Amino acid sequence: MHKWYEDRECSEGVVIGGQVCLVRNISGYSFESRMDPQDQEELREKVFEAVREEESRLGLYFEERDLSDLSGCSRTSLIGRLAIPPLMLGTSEKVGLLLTPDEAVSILVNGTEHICIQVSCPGKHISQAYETAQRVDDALNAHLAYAFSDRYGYLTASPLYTGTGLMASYLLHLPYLERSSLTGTYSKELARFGFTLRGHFHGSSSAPGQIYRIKNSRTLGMSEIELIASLERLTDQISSSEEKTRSERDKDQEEIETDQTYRAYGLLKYARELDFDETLEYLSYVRSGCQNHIWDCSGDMDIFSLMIGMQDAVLISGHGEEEEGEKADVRRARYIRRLLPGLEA
Amino acid sequence: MLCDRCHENEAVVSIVEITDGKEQTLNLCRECAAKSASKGITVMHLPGSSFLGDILAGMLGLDAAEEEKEPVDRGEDLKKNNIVCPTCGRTYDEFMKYGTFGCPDCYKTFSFLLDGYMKKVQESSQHAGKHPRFSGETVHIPDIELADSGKGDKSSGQEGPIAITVDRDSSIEELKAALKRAVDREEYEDAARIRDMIRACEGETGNA
Ligand SMILES: [Zn+2]
Ligand SMILES: [Zn+2]
Repeated sequence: MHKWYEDRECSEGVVIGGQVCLVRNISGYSFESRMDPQDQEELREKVFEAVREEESRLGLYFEERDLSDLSGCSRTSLIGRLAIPPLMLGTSEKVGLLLTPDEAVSILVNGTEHICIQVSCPGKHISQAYETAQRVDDALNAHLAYAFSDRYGYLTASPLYTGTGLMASYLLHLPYLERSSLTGTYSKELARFGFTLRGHFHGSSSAPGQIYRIKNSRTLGMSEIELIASLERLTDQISSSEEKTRSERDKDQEEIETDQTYRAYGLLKYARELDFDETLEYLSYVRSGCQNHIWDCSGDMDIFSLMIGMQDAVLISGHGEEEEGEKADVRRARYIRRLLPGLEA
Repeated sequence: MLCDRCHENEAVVSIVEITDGKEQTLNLCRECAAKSASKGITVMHLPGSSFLGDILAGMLGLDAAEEEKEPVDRGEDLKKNNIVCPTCGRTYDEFMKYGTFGCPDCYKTFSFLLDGYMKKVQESSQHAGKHPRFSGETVHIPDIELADSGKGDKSSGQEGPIAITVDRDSSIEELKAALKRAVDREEYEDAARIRDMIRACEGETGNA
């Protein structure tokens, strides 16, 4: 099944894709940290049942994913594939996950909060993602009473989500802003509007591969519509600034970059061991190569899906081609080699 | 995710470190973060770990007290420390330590500090968004003024207007006391709910 992050839109333009996450708690139960396993099991059953009843009306079909393996490879892999927001997972053994086959819609139960509904979209379509999240939210609400107060909105275990319980974000590829040392400036600017701009992947630099996430840091005092509108507006500003910085390169710079881009491609295509950070760096160059029309990318140059797929946990859990005791870097190099399309010379 | 500094412990917090004018985000474990914090580094990002509680407690313990212009007397401190959420049992200390609520009613139990708390964390204390399409049981949070008016009450924390929450596990005495308080306060919806609980309780076993 085609995954949302394999969509062409994820590998074009500044905006890779977006995610909306809605946190909800059910009234009549304590929050997760105070729940006993029976209550958690009961809650999970109720939520799953509600979802089953609403599936056809929603036009969404969910598969139950097993997260009982606490040691975490499948968990880390799901986080790496953006199916679960990492801070939402928690430590409960009664955690439950429903996921659509394209992995665009997920419902997490018994994470750090009772329910977390997440909808992902390729490209700049956060409003549609939000609409979908709303529909799932209302559908569940028809069966489950939410903990809510007029004053503080949706009540959550963590005060960081109280209010709308909504987190909305875009993933951005910002190589030119970063090279011009402008991402720090933007990050400070954004704080004034209640947004953060941080590296998405964890590695030795602050934003490996120049992949950033812009996300709201507040859930009170602003409506969902206002929040989404702010996210769109701020993202537009950053995108056009990135485009502008790119277009302002001079000829020399462009030549140097073209060379670097081909070198990055060569390393990805022929290296036998690739560590995580360097892979991201090279993939970032190759993605820029597409934006800069250094080569034709209309084919299957799905760089973002390679970024997702080459993470250690995703590699291990996904492709069933690992050999006993094989180094992750070797496996990563083989994965990239296999999937990186050839160039028309 | 392992700590970027010692590469041994699990990272619980992300910080932004500025060296030579360049920003760098580091994911650190509790120990390494504590060392960094003492060097005056800003903590930016707070995953839902108890570390968040530490930081919030630090912020609130100092700042909240300063902002309430009145001097904090020891009796008041003692009273706060004795507050326990009647529904889930979360204590004031735990709330300060973990920085998370134990149940929806905690919002009521700790309402006396919520506005300040939310303004620190969220820069607002008023929901402006969606309401549930199908409303369930909502939590009515008493006004701060109301909560404050209870300050002079006995130190048990039970008599104050904060602890009006009861549930199916409450004893008949608790329920009746809560009913009286609800009626006194003209909170008839609550009263009706509690009355139903008493009926259910009496009908069920006749215990207590
Ligand atoms: Zn450490
Ligand atoms: Zn509570």
